[in-house]
Amino acid sequence: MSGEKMLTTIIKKELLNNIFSFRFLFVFVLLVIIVTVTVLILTDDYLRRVDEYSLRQNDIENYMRRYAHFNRVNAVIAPSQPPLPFNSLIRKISPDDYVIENVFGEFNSDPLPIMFPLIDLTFIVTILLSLIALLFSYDSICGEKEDGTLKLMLSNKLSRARIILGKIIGGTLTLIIPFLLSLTIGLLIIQFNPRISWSEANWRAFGLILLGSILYFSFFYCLGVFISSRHRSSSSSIMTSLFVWVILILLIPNLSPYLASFLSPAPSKIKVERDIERITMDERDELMRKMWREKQAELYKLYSILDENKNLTQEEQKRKAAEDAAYRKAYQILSEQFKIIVSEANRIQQDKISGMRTELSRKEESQMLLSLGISMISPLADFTYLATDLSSTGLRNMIHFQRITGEWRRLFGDYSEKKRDAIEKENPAIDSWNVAVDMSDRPRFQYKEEALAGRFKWTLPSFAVLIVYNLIFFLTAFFSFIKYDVR
Amino acid sequence: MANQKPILKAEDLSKRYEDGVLAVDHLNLEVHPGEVYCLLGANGAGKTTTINLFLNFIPPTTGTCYINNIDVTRDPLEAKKYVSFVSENVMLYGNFTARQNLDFFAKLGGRTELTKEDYHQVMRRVSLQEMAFEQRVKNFSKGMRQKLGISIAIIKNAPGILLDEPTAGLDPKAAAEFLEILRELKNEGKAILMSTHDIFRAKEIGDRVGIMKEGRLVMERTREELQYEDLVKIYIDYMRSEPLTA
Amino acid sequence: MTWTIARKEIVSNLLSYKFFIVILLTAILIFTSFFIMHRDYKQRLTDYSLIKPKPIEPIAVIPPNPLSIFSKGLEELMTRSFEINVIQITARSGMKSGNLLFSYFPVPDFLYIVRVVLSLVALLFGFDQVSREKERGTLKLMLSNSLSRSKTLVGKWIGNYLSLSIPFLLITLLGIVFLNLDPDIHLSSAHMVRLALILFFSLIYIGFFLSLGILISTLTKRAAASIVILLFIWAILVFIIPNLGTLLARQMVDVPSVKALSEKRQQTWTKEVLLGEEDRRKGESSWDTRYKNIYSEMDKKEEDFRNKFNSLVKLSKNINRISPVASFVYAVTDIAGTGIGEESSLKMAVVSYRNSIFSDVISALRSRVKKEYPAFAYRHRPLSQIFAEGALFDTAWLVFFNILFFALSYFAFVKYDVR
Repeated sequence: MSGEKMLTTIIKKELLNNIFSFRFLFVFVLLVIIVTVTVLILTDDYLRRVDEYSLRQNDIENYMRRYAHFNRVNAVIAPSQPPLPFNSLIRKISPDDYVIENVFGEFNSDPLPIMFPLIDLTFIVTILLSLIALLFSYDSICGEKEDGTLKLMLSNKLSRARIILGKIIGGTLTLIIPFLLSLTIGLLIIQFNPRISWSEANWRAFGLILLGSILYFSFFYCLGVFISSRHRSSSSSIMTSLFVWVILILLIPNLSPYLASFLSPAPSKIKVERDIERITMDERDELMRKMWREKQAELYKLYSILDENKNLTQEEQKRKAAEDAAYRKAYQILSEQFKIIVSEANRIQQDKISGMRTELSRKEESQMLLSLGISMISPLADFTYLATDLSSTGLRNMIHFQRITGEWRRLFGDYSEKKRDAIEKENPAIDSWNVAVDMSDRPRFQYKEEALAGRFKWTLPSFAVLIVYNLIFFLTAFFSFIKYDVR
Repeated sequence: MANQKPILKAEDLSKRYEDGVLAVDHLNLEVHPGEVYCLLGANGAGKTTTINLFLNFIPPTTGTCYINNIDVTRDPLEAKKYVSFVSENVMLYGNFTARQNLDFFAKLGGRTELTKEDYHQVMRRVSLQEMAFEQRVKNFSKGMRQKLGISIAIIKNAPGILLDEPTAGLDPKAAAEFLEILRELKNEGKAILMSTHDIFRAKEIGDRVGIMKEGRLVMERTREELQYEDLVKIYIDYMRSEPLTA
Repeated sequence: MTWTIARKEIVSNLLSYKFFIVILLTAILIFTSFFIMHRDYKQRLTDYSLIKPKPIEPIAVIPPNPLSIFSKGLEELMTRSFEINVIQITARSGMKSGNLLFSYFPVPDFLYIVRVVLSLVALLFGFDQVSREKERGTLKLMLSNSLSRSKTLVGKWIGNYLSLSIPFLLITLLGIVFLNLDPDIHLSSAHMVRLALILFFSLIYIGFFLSLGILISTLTKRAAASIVILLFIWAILVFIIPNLGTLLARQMVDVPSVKALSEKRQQTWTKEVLLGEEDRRKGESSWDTRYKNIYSEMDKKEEDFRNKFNSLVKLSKNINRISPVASFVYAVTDIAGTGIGEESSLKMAVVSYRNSIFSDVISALRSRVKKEYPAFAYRHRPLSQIFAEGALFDTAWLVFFNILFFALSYFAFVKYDVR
């Protein structure tokens, strides 16, 4: 038989041997059940949230028709994240939660997701599929040795390289079957729901996530084969596999943000906010007083008339300015300088504040990056990042959301200025900030998912890590088997 | 010794499995103290089932097994005091040494007062190498494990011994040593029931030999009778002949 | 006789590779968890000292709870600083809010380690107890003696349970001793009692999974088949039922989202402010009525939210508790003082604090004079209340499952075909 034919024979053997085993049947059935139940529940939840979202938008529209006014309108029409069709499969973090917590400091909270985080496709792939991959591969080598079939194979004209290649390919194919089939059922459930429709970009993103999943569990299959080739018995092989699995999946990702916060700490947000408050109020007032004292002294030296009249009350000073022309000129200069000092003091403090805020976000960002970096040692993190970022349910969406809300804010700011100018022109006496205005022509915030290209670029490092892991462990399994003692 | 009451007795013993197979068909046999009874037969003839019935691992459909006159199904715990068991192909506890395995099973068998020297004595008796006593069993050859298995049976010191294919897979020397030990035990007065498909050993060691075919005891001969008959020929004839009707 | 079997199990375990891996894993996880959560607690202590309110600040904050080292639960939510101001109670978080990745993965606290890993470990101890002995042939050997099956099973169970629980206890206690060496960690005697209870629950939890493992072992012929079944049962009990159960409950109890509540608050407040401004321009001062309107509407909405949320929690509990793992989580978080019940009790305390100082807050705003407010004091719920409000049920439920699965494995083993 030619080399390629040998390889195909091995792959076929692996595939069939696996498919006709009890564990395959069991895994298949359970995977189908779990995926179906998960998709059903998530879809229901998604639709519920869609309904709530449109109700909320209606409430906002009703409010704006009657009570819209520029002073506090920003809080009312603050952008929020609409539920995405992909949420019937994947959900992680939502910009809404971030905004509620950090911008509005909402007292009420929903603690259930913290105690019981939800199950979605990322859970099914990262936890279940990796376990399944290990379950199929832990006895790949040592099991065949125990059964005596390894010796039988090697008593033929068959290189070890072909065997290991065939095993890994055959094994990964075996896993793809139940995975794809159960996912298809899940997708059918979603697509048959008349209220959900996926765009082309969604399908392409899904394809990429599928690719990521396959990379993920093929890595675990290689890992399992490698561990299998380091053990003489299946029972010790499964122990080592589970040990490695627990460390990689249950320990490293969970530790990473804590490690990052120890190695690259960021200052307390509350402390920064308190400091900022202090700087905006008390410190600014003090600074202003100090600057004004200096300025006053300067001006008094320059304008003796001011110095003479400095002990008059403000009322008396105003009266004098109305009467005495010389005094009026000096007084005007005084008032102007005062305004300058005020804005100068404000500016100085604002610079300080923006400096502090920049510093804070810089430190937070570097902590987050370190956290990302450490966690990416675990393939679970890599897959989670790529799946959530491609589906706009993760970190990337937070950044994107911030960007588009910034754009909308600018648009609305322009609109607000123009409208207010128009109102003031019509009636200068009106307080344009606190009067009800018809804002039906306002620019509305429209959430659009980031283009797939942008999301994909962001997930390239995760894909890269998974590919590299696959290569490394394929090679280690390969070389380890070459040296395996078959007796 | 053959006139003493039998230690092991099967009385009209039958076992039909749920799938309808009649594994043991009205079996009657007795094993007396100081006697070795060899149960011969092909695979699936019912030998192992018979032994399982004696040990109450499965209940009989009809009939009874008696160990030391105790009905095995009625009072299994009491009955098991009087019999020890050597299984085919036993892996034992691989991480334990030979002595640790022996110690554990001795205690289970009720012998809690034994010392290390007692264990060594028994293991020496079965010709297990001295240096294997404190070695882990997972590295033992099959022959060594069988020797350990029989020493477990010896140390219980029960009047009856049941063996299921004990010489299967042993090289001729190990098998011969094993049979020598059985002979010693027989001479000490033990009643030994041994299932095997090794005709030659059966002829060598058996005081009586029974051939089982499709659950039935189709032939039983004593040693004297076998001197004048060719056991091999009889056995093969039976194997080749038409299947018995139900 | 039972003790002979138990002793054999223990010695056999001590010599096995499986035991070595399991103990190594447990030690690594528990020590790492204690180390990390300890540092995290210290950071939060520092944070707390920075944000402790001065008497002129109407702010409610509680110090970090040392038991959160073992069960973080809702501690982050509870240790926010709650600032009472005119339109709402503003809750601000401390250090962690900048790093979003904290919410990506579960907290590696002691509760997590026991809940997720020790359950797996206990299952791994049990799953080949019967099938392995059968494969080795030693099961027949054992049962050819005058030894009842029940004694055999009990001996196996005790031997394996001791092999598992004693190292676990030693490792945990060692970790706790190291924690106590840090002078900043004050574990009072009340805390120690709660910690002991948490350990007690962990031991019951482990026992349940051991029984489950042994049961699976008696129901399958080959160890290779039982490991597949075992891993799936584990995933379903530990992850799927508790987490999907909560989502399912949401389908049946309609609770407005927190965002909806927040939006409603903004709308109500700004509407009343606008109307107040219009009134002021007309010359009438209606601020008092305005504020009253804001409060009555918002309080109504918030009470509605809290009531609906409480029914959601109740329904959620009922569904989740199909899996004893959920009961374990509820019991441990409640006892540690970081659970759902504690969080809502804290919220109510903050609300009544607000009510007590509220008129002062308003008058301080109007007159621009700084006032002094009484400090906010909160006492964690006492154990008696915790047990009355659900922990007793969870305890009974866990014990019940333990007994049930032990009985099931007993019956399965008595009928087990040893051939």
